[in-house]
Amino acid sequence: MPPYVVKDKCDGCKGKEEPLCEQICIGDLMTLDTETGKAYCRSLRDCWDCMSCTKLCPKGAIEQRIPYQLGYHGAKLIPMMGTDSITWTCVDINGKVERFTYRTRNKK
Amino acid sequence: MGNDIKTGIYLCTCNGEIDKVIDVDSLAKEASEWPGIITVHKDAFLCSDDAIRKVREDVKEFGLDRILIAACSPFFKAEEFSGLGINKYLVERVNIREQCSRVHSNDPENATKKAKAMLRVFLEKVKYSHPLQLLQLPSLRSALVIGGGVAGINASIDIAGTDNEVFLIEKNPFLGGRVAGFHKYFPRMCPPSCGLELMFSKIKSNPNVHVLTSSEIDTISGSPGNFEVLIRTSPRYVNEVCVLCGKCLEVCPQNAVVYPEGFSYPGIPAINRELCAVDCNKCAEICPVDAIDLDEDVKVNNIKAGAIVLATGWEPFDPAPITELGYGRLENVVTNMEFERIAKKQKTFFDKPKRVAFIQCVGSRDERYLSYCSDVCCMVSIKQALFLKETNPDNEVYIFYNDIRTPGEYEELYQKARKAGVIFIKGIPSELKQSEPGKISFSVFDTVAGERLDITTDMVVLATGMKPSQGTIDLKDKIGIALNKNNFIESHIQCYPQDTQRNAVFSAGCCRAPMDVSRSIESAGTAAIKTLRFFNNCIEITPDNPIVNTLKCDVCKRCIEECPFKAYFFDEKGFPKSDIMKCRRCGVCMGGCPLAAISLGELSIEQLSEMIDAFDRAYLGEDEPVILGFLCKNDAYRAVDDAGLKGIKYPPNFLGIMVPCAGAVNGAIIAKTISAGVDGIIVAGCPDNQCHYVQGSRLAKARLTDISNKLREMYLEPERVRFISISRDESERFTEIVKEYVEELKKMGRNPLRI
Repeated sequence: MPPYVVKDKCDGCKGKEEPLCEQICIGDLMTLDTETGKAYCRSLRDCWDCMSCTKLCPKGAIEQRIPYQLGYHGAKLIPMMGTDSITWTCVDINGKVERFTYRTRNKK
Repeated sequence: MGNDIKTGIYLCTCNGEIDKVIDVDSLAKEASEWPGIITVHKDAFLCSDDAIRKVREDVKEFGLDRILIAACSPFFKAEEFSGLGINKYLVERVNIREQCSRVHSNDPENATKKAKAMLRVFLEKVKYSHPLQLLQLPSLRSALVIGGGVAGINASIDIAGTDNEVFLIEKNPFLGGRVAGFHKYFPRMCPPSCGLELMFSKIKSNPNVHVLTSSEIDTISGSPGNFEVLIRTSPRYVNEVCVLCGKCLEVCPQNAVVYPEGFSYPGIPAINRELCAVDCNKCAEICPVDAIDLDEDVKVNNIKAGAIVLATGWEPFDPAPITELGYGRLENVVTNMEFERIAKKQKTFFDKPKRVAFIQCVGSRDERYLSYCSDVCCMVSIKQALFLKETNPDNEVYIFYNDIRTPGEYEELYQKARKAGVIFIKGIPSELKQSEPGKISFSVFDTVAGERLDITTDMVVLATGMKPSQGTIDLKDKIGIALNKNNFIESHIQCYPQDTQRNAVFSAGCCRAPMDVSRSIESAGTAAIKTLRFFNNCIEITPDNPIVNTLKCDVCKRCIEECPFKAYFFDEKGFPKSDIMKCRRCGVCMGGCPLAAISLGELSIEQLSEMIDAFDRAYLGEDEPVILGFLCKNDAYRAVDDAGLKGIKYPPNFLGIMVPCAGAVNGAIIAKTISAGVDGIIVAGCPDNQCHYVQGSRLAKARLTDISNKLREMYLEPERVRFISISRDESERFTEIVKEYVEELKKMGRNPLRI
C-alpha cells in the first residue's frame, strides 16, 4: 500500500527539482508535481512499503497506509526520527498503542 | 572520543551566593567520581586572579583537555574565563547561579539535584567540543559606493577621509542625484548648489575617490573583505579635453547634448546617443578641441572592494494612477518635484499673484499605492508654500492635509508658514476639475470647521511621496540583499539601521527608508563608519560557522533556501557550504536540515545529542515532570538570567540550554528529546518581528507545529512541545509560563516514552 502525502504539510522541499522523498525512494516512485509544488507517488502499486520517505520527510507530511497483511483500516505505523534514535508508534485496528525506541547509527 | 579526555571541573560558590542554596561540597564529591574527571576544585571567587592562576596551573599540571566552570551566567566574566591557557572553545560554563541557586533558593534540596543534572548535561557538551583557531583572511582597503546622490557622495567623502580607497558609481552622467534638481532644501533653505559644490570639491581634491559616472553594476561576486565587481560604463562621448565652449549644444538638432550646469560634476557634457539622429556627426565636427568621439564603446571595469555601501536613492511616486487628481490630464496640476523645477527656472510664473493649493499625502499612507508615510512631503510643501509667500506675499496658498508631520526643529517652519498666512485645511479634495483654461476647481470637506469649501486655484501641487528606486530593486538579486514589503532595504531598524542582511553591505540614504537631506547625510556617515571595520588588511575570524557533514548531506538545498543571510554556496563537489564571512552564526540551517547534517562550530548536533542522552529525566524523582528548554541567546536566555538576577522563583523542573537562535533547534533533536522521555520541551525565541536573524523564530514555530502534529498522530499530547516568544525584559512572564507548564504536565502525566 502506498505512501500518502498530506498536501497541507508538504512544502515540496521548498519547491526544488528533487525533494528528499524522491531522492530516497528506492523504486523512484515519489516525485514532485510541478504544478502544485507538492510530492506524490506516481505508481502506487509498485511501492514496497519501505517507509524511507515517511521517515525522511522533514515536515512529517507522508503517512503510510499499512498493507492488509499487517493490519486493516485503522492500524497505523508512525516513525519519528531523532538524531541517533527512532521511535515507532504502532497502533492496531483496536486502537491499542505500542511504542518502541531504538538507537540508530546516525550519530554526529 | 570517550572517557580518555581529561576534564577539570571548577565550582564557584560566589562567596556564599551559590553554596547557601546548593550543596557544592556534595556536588564536588560526586563529580570527582565521574569518569574522565581529573580534578574538581571549589573556590569562593572563581573569577579572581588567584583562582584563574590556579586553573592555569592545573591545565599545565594535569594536562587538562576540557574545563567545565560551574558559576554565574556565561554573559558575566566571559573575559576572565576565556584566558585559561586552553582554547576557549574547550571551556564550558554551567550557569548554576542565575538559573539555579538564585531562582530555587526556597528549595535547596531540589536545587542541588538540578545543579547536578546541569553539570552532567554540560559535561557532555564540553566533552564533544572542538577547538577552533582564529583564521586570518585578507581584506582590501577599498569600498564600493553605489549611487552618486547626496548620501553616496557623503559616504565616499567619509570613507576616503580615513585614507581608504572609494569607487563611487553613478548611473547618470552627473553626480548629485535628486538633490541637484531641488530649488532649495530645508530647514535652512540653502540652494543645493552650495552644499553639493562643497561636496564635489572634496571629491575632486581627494585622490582616494574614483568616480565612475554613466556606470552600472554588472555582477558582484566574492565575499566580505574581497568583493569582485564588474562595472559597465556607458560611453560619455565627450572626454576631459572639453573646454565647455558650448558649440555642440548649439549645433545639435536633437537636443541630445546634456550640458553641465554651473556646479555639476563632472563638469563636461555628455551626449545621449538615444536621441541622436542617424549619421549626424555635427557636434564632433564642430568641436574645436576634438573632445567628442561618437564611436566610443562601452567599457567594463573590474574592481575589488572590501565593503559595499548602497546609496541607490529614491524615485518620485507617479500620481497618474490616481485618476481623480487628473495629473497628466489637467493643466497646472503638478507634482512637488515639478514645482521645484518651476521655482528654480520659471520664476516669471509668479509675477502676478496666484492662488496655489497643495494636496498632501498623494499616494502616501494609502493601501492602494504607498502604504507608508514618505516623511518629507509635509516639509516640502511648507518649504514651497513659504517660497510662494516670499516671492509675492499676495500669493494665496492653501495646504490640504490629513496630518501635518513636522517633528523636532521643523515645527518652527510650520509656525513660520502659519504666520506668513499659509492656510492649512484638514481635508483632502476628492476630485479636481478644469473649470476654465488654466484654472482648477474642486470641493473639499474641511473636517475641522465641518463645512464644505469650493475653491478655484491657478495651480495644484501634488505632494507625492518617495518610492524605492528601480536601482535598488535591480541590485536585490545581484547582491542578495533583502527588501521589505515596500521594496526598501530591510534592516534591523532599531539597532543596526544601516546594516543590510548581508555582511559588509550597508545602506545609506533613501534606499532604506524615505528621509530628508540631513538624515541622508547622517545615515551616510554611519554607513561609512561601518565599512571601516573591513579595512584592516586582514580580518581575524573564528571558523565557527556551520559545517555540512557531506557524508550525510543529500543536497536538498533547504539550508540554501532558509539561510536568512544567503551565506550558502555550492563547493567544488556540489555540496552546500557556508561562506565564513557572510555567515552570522544563527544556526537556522542547522535547525532546518532534514538530515541533521549541519553543525555550528560552538554547538554541534553531536553535542546536543549527547547532552540529551546525559540528561537525567528523573533528576527530581520519578513522579516530577521535567522540562528541557532551548533558549535563544539574544532574548530568551537573557530573560531567564534576568529572572535569576531579580530572584523570581520558578520550579526546578525546568533546565535551560542556550542555542544561538530558536531556529537552530533541529526537529531531530526535539524528537530525540521526546523519545528520551523528557516530559515537556520549550523552545524560546524572540517575538516574530524582533528576531535578530530575521526568520529564526518564525521557522522554529513552524517546525514545532509539525512536531506537535506528529505527536498527536502518535497518540501523545501535542502540548509536550511548546514554542514561546519571550522578549529580553519578560522574565516575569517566563516564570509564569514555566509554573503553568509544570502544573499542566503534572496533569498530563509522565511521558509514556520515559523508560
